[in-house]
Amino acid sequence: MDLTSPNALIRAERITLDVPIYLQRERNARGWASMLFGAAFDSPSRSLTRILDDISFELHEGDRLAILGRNGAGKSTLLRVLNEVYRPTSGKLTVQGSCQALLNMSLGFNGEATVRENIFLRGIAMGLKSSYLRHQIEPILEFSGLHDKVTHRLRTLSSGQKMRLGFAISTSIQNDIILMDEWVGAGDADFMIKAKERMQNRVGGAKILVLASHSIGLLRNICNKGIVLEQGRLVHAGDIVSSLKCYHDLLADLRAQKIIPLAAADGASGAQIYGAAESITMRDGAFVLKGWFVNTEGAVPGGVVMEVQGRRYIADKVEHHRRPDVVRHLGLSDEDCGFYATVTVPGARKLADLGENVQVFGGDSPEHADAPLRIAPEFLVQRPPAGAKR
Amino acid sequence: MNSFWREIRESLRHPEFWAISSWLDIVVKHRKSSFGVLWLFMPSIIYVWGMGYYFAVAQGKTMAEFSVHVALGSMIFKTLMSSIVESTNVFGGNQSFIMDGHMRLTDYLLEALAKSFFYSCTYIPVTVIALLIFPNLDLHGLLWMPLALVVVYLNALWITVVFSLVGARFPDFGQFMGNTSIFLFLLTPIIWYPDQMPADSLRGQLMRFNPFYHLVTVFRAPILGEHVETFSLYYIGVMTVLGLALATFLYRRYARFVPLWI
Repeated sequence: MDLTSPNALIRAERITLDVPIYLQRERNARGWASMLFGAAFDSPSRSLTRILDDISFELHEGDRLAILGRNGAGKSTLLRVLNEVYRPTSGKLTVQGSCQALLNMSLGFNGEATVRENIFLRGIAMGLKSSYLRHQIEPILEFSGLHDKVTHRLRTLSSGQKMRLGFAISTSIQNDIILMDEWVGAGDADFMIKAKERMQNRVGGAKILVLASHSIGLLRNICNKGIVLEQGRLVHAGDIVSSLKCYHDLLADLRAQKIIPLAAADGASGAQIYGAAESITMRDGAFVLKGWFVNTEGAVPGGVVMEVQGRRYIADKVEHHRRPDVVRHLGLSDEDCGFYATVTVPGARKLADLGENVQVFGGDSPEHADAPLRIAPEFLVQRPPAGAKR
Repeated sequence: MNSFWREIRESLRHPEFWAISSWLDIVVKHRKSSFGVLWLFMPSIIYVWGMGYYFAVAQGKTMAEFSVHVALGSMIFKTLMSSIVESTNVFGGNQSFIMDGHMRLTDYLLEALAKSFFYSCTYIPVTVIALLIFPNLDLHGLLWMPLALVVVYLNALWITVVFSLVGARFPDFGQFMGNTSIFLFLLTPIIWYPDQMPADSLRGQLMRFNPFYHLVTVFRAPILGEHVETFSLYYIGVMTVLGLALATFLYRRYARFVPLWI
């Protein structure tokens, strides 16, 4: 079944969305009794909040849009507007082409019905014809690995199995437009590989992709355009690098004003760290790692740990240096994202002593360095392979 | 054309979603019990042969006369009442589909309506038996039945629209309607006869104010060879037109807010 149409298009013209929210009255609870009483009898008050404010942009075939913004900036809401769930209070939205949102795929099931019945229900809700769906049931079961569960009640499935089923159904057809809130994919390793491949196919086959994510590297790799939202307003629209730059500047600004905390020393900031270890050399009996890292809020963390044969060695010294190339690539605002980390590994006198199994982790502090950094291909090349000794 | 009627037409043309989801909802509810969907027929048996028998004796009637009165009355009452009860919660219950972008809300309305249709069908066996044992069945009156059903379902339709929107906005409303259903049942002449309440009495006026009374009467009276008051026909005519107009207006004005409310 082909749901594609010749001219995929999303055009948002001055979209504004006001939403009623319900606030529970603040009450100075003097004890648990009065708190429970308040929870039971205080009726929530209602007020209007502007979640999206005057947003305009246009997407054509081939566009891969990254929606950037802090938590609560309106990213998910904008996706829901593009999916035509929320109708804008004012402004005009034009969407041409079939659209599939991959937002919360483990929802939308009837827990008491069987897996097969649920595939039908979800498929039809997605607008598929039952004659087409009949032939899709097998592939969907195959993909989600739930063949032996087909007559089970959905309620008895684990949340991972539900996720797999939801994923298999939602991605069973190619649509023109894909809307995504964070990159989809979870589950066991086997399924992850399949899911990754399927996602790449679907995203590759889609004419328009809109992706909201905090994962900068991912957005940089997939998207070619970006918009930055802050408190429901569109503060920037442009190519991906300028958008990332704007986003990181915004975060740096907010950090400077102490609106969001500096990368906390105890590693509790919640931001994720990503980066790469590019090379390793010997100097004065210690290993020097060269690389770069940054967290998803654009700040540069401070801790590096090298793991050799399963043992962790904390870097004695981490020096930051400027990396204009990385900054340009990712649109960062902090230039000092490069690092030289000096690590002493007792008993290791030369690179070959480290063996094959070397991993590098970054973190806000050495104790919390648990984010694996990508190991660049050259990193391995510079060391003679361990097998060469034999 | 107005969005409500256009979407209703679309939904009727593509019945897969609401037909499957309403049917699944009904059958899976009874999967765990050993009698399964047979339980669905229990209310009709209890209403007609249990409660009906009790009140027949109390009013000095035979079951042959009285059971059909109860059966036809409770069948229509069940249709309307379950439209109300199902619809107040229908958007909330389908939240995940709505949030996933399945946005033709009339599908969910027809789902509620289809459920109420299934429930009223469970009254058919009991009603057929009651009709067979009824001594003075009016066969001409039976011919009116399809028309009366159309009127009943047109009313159920606007009721579903109005109550689903109100139920989505005010979640308390479902609770409220669930609790008033017994009162409405007793206020409607199902286990008693309308002529026990003269038109000039306060209770008679209260009964005539109750829309259920008119819908039940217009369906039941011709079959039993009873007289339908002209007032009932006017009442139903005006109510159907105004109700559908109200539904059209509310749907056009408020359907867009449903995803925000639920």
